[in-house]
Amino acid sequence: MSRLVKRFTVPGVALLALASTGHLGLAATPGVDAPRLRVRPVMCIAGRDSASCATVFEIDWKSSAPGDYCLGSDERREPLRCWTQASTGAHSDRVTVTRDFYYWITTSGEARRLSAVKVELLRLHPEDRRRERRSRHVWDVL
Amino acid sequence: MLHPKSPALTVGLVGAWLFAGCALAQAPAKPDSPWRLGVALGYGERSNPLIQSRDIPVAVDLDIAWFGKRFFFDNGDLGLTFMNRPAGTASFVVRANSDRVFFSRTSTRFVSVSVTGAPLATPAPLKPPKRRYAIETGVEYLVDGRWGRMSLAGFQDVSSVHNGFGADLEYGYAIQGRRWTLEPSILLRYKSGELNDYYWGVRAGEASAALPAYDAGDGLNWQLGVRSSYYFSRRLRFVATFNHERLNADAAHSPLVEQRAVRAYFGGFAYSF
Repeated sequence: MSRLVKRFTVPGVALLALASTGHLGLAATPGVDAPRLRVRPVMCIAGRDSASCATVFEIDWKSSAPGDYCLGSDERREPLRCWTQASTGAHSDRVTVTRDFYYWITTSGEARRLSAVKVELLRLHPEDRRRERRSRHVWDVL
Repeated sequence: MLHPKSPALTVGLVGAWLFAGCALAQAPAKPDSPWRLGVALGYGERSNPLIQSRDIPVAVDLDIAWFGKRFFFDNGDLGLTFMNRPAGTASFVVRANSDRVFFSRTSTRFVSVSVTGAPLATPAPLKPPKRRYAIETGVEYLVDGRWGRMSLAGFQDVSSVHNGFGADLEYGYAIQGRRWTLEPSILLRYKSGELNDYYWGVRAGEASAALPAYDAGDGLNWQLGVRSSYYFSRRLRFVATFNHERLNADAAHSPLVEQRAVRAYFGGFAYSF
């Protein structure tokens, strides 16, 4: 069963409340056997006049029991890296992000994802420039 | 921007919720949806430059907009786009004038000294006069590029409230990191004599021992602003904004005006549906 795990470090009751409803992309804490996967950043903002953003993702994982694990991604057909009888691992991945995608951990030779983290691409400059109008409300502060 | 205890806020929120529900039912939220729906919760204030006035608190900021190929609705503004090219986007726009908002949060006080500093023989009531909202129409031109974004707009009163016109020129440049954006901007706002005098002048019939008559001519406001966002996800972000607007000289010298600058700030969480 796929599990989404993200580490969230910003405190705040409001954020925790939102997180509890899934609005931050957080999901249930993985079980004892599921490695904990962490990706930083989990978001990439595309620049103006660009549909993509290039960045280096720092990925690490930790398992309660040593095993043979592989790190995969929607952006690669082959595993990014595999570990033998390991309980922790880390990897850096340079990607030009053009869409949302997942990193995941599997047991070597199996397709079932033990843990997964979603990376989001944000396009803040829409093609329709009217959406960037600033004179919105007469009292608007945003 | 609404006061947290305002009945209008409650009605607005309920209406917006129902409206958003209908909107979302008709057009599911997706990147190319014509709808843009959002809400920001936090705290901020916009200062009120008028005498006998209170600053305007900001607790909720609703964002309700719809963009079609030709027509659009953007938080009260109605638009008809007649040119949309890589060189720029031009639209006819109908909007409400923003100066009226300051006159909603005023009160009466009995004073023994006029606003000019002259002592009064007997205490006299002092309160800014009433002003109406004006409906304005005009043309707005938007252009952007690697150098930033710029908008130029001219508006004329069509509601026979002030019978004047105004023009705005704004430039902004956004910089961004992996999860944050920061956009400084500058706005120049010209106001004709009719517009300026309607809101900031004091007619003979409104003048009193405490409040002398005043005629305001045209003038140029300028505003510096900065908006920043830190994204937790595609939908949720923390926003912080600050604006400083300096009123033109003729408005600033009005006996109705106590502070020449209008400052606004807000910090809170914004959620996009």
